[in-house]
Amino acid sequence: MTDGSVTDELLTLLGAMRDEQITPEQIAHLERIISQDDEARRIHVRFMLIHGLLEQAAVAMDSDQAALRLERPAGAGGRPWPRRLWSMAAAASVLIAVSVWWMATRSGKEDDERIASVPIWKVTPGVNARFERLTPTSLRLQDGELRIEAVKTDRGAPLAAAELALMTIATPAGKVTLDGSDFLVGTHESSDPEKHGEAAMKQITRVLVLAGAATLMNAHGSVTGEADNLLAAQADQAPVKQVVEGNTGFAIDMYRQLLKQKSGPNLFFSPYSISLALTMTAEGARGATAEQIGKVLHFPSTARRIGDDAQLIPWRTALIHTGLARLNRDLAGTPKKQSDRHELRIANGLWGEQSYPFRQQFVETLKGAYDIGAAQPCDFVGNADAERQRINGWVADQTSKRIKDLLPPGSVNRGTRLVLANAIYFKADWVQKFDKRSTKPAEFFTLAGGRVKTPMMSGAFKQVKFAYIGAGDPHQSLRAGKADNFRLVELPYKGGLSMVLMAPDNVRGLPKLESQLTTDSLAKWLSRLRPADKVEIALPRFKFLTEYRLMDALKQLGMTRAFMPPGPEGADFSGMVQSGNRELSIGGVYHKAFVAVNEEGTEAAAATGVTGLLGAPPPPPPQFVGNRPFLFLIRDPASGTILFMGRITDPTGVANNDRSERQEAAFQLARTTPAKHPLYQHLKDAAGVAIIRTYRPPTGGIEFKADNRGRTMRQCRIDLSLKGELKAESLPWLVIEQEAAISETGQAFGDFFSESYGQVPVLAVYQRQGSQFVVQELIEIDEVARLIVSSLYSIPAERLSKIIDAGKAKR
Amino acid sequence: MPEQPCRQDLFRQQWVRWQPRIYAYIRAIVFNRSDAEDLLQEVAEVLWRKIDAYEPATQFDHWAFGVARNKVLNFQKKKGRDRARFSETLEEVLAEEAARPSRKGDLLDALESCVDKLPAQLRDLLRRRYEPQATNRSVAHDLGRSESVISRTLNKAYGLLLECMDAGDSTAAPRLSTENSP
Repeated sequence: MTDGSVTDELLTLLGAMRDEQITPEQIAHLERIISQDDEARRIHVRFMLIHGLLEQAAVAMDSDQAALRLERPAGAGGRPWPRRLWSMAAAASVLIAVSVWWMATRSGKEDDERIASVPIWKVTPGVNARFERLTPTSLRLQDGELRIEAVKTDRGAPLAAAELALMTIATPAGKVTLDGSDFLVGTHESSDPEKHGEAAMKQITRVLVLAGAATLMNAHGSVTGEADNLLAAQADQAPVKQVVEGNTGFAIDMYRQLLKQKSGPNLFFSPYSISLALTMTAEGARGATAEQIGKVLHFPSTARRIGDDAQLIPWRTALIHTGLARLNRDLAGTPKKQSDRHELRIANGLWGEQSYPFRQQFVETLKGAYDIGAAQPCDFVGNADAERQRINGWVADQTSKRIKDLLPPGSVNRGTRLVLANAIYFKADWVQKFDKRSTKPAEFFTLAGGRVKTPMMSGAFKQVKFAYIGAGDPHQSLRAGKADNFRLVELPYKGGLSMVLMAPDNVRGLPKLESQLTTDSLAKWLSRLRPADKVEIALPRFKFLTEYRLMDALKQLGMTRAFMPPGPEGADFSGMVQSGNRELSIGGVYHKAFVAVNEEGTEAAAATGVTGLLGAPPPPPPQFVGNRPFLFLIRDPASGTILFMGRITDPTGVANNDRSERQEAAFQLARTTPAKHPLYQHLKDAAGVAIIRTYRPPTGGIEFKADNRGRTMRQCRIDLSLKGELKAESLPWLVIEQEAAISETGQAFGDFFSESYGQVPVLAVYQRQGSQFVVQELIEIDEVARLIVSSLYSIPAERLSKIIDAGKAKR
Repeated sequence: MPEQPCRQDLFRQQWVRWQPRIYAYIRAIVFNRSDAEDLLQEVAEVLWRKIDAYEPATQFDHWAFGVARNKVLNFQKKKGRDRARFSETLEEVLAEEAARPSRKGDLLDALESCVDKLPAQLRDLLRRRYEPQATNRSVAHDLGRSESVISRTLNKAYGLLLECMDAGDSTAAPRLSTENSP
């Protein structure tokens, strides 16, 4: 008869089975118990029966929420007709047809197919790995790292299928069992910094699961992990699981830092991109410099090398990002219809001064672990600016020209020895698109308390997840919501990624929401997301480009040494240098990000009503109304990785937070009505300036009537090319009041007419240059007029005034 | 005189009655939920295809469990060593055990009754854990506890349910201290 201790042990094993975390060793142990004990076997069966019944009850509960209650069969014990049966009946006819074909065509081929589908294990050793392959499915790893992948055999490969199943690896700190397709396994002798002598030396085994499941066990216990989990064990301690939390911690830290800079209404960046670029840099960092970078990037403590490897970089960093890059490639290459895919490109680049002796291992690590195609030799010494432009060109190519001029003039000079860059590009359609016809101008409540008009997309969505955080009814209107409550909605993209939007019920509640934002709270909120039958969503269409210099933010986060002059108390990137000397430090960290959110298509999205419910009318669907400042992130739900993160507090505002004081002043100045705009008045009175009114996009060769100071009417032929050059017969300056598409910074005049960014009334200021007019400045004259300032083309109002005055005097 | 239900209607009624039990039977042997759900679909497909052979006078459960038993054992054999599983001998024994009719009447009714007797916090935990798509991890997040605490507490709830269902008289179900409940 089963006694109490056996029952406890049995319940633990059955609990692991219920939670689908049972290890092969536990299965063997469970089998021993229930084979020898009838009572234990009975408990096992009853336990799993309870589990199965509860799972089925959950399915039935789920079904109850739909209209299927109406199909309750007579005499069926009063239980609702499970939705599952309907789907089974529908599926049955298909399956029968397929099975007939299968029986007619598969005969004789089954064995081949079976062999072809059985994985074999490919083992790729790291540098200095010491291992021994015992059988095709087992090996012993003494030291070093292995990448182990399951690959399919060729048809008819002479391998015994029965032997090819789980892979086991014996290491000094524990036994690893792999079930899946892609893993990194490493074992190292390390020292505990808090101990001395031999006692300090420990063997640590780590397993990074890229795809599949792995179990790490030793005499003290076992742990099982799935994709993106990191398992670690020391010989004298029970194994632990370190969940790779992506870059969430770093993302939130950086978000807070950028908020503190208070440099603009909106914010947008890619923590993933920054993290990748810094992690590559960290590969060559040593000592305290590496320590600081690791802390800022939230490297898990179990991923750090200690002991003999104390001066080395945590090996996990490269491996994790390799894994995520691989995951992203897998997502991008999913063999579905082209229309169901997203575009997700992640590229890393390395440019090194050709005359500088880099450490070969550093270069090889980056080439191998970060998918860098080749390290590009550069002539920074002799031609720094040309190399800067070459790097910028690479970034532009990788981002479909969305990110241009990442490295500003002067950022690369003859002292530059190395540039590491990451570029990420993402493009996807919503699973359910917004109906363009539903997009209407609507008010957006800015954080400052004002209101601006902006194109607002809207629709009823059925394939989304929704969560209401805070006490109260999610179906109530936003006005009735409590001040601290907020709503989350997750809009899926085709291809598997999604955008999560978080907006407070209170129009000024974003700072409060942001103050509660932590890794844990975000995880908790995201876990509350549940599929909703229908959610009414309103979201502004927005598009902007941001630009950050991250040195100060990173220093504030604790990464100070990397920016100091090299030395014992300063930067230590000796891992990059052949000589091992401290010679390098980081000169700058530049980041640009671009985002455009729109309806993506013109097809109408079907609104789904709640059907078939009897009795009381259904409650109104929950709403997510983004007409107030909100926070958003683009993430991979599978791995939890946050690819992009941002906030919108004014969708009409530019988001370049690195505006100079002059630009900021001009921006504020422009937030007045056109009539009061001093520049506008000045231009109107100036000689040699034509103010042309048209509300048709000037796409080329259009004749305008020029009204010079309202006195003289004359004909003026203007030619516009897509490069934004404007030809005219005369006039040093030209101001066109027009309804036009504008780019988010005004700098990309080439895009000005080539792509619709949203039509807004603007004053376009052109300056004659020879026979052409070139745009100098755009002034939006919408309800809240604003100046679109670009670092490349804008000129200060004062300077413009002087030029105009000079022209006036000359006349 | 009321119209006699047709064979299909009778089949549906029987399936609705036995489906949770058949699923639970599969789950007692198959470790993975999605595999179990696939198998349930396959069992339903076989039964539906052979509906003409169904004699309303015969015991539906014997027929359905027989089909399920074959499906499960074939599935496990097919999977071979690719999957975590028990030995074939033990699987056969478990299949017999799981198909054994309950002496206490309808299992689902008994389970519902026993769940009602659980302390409120454990009932709430079960409700959360068995919401569609919920996992131990999501429940742990919601309750601010670790996954291991959730798993252990679920084990306690299961222990009580086992005792209660064995007792037959669900009114005598013991109550668990909620001190360690999440």
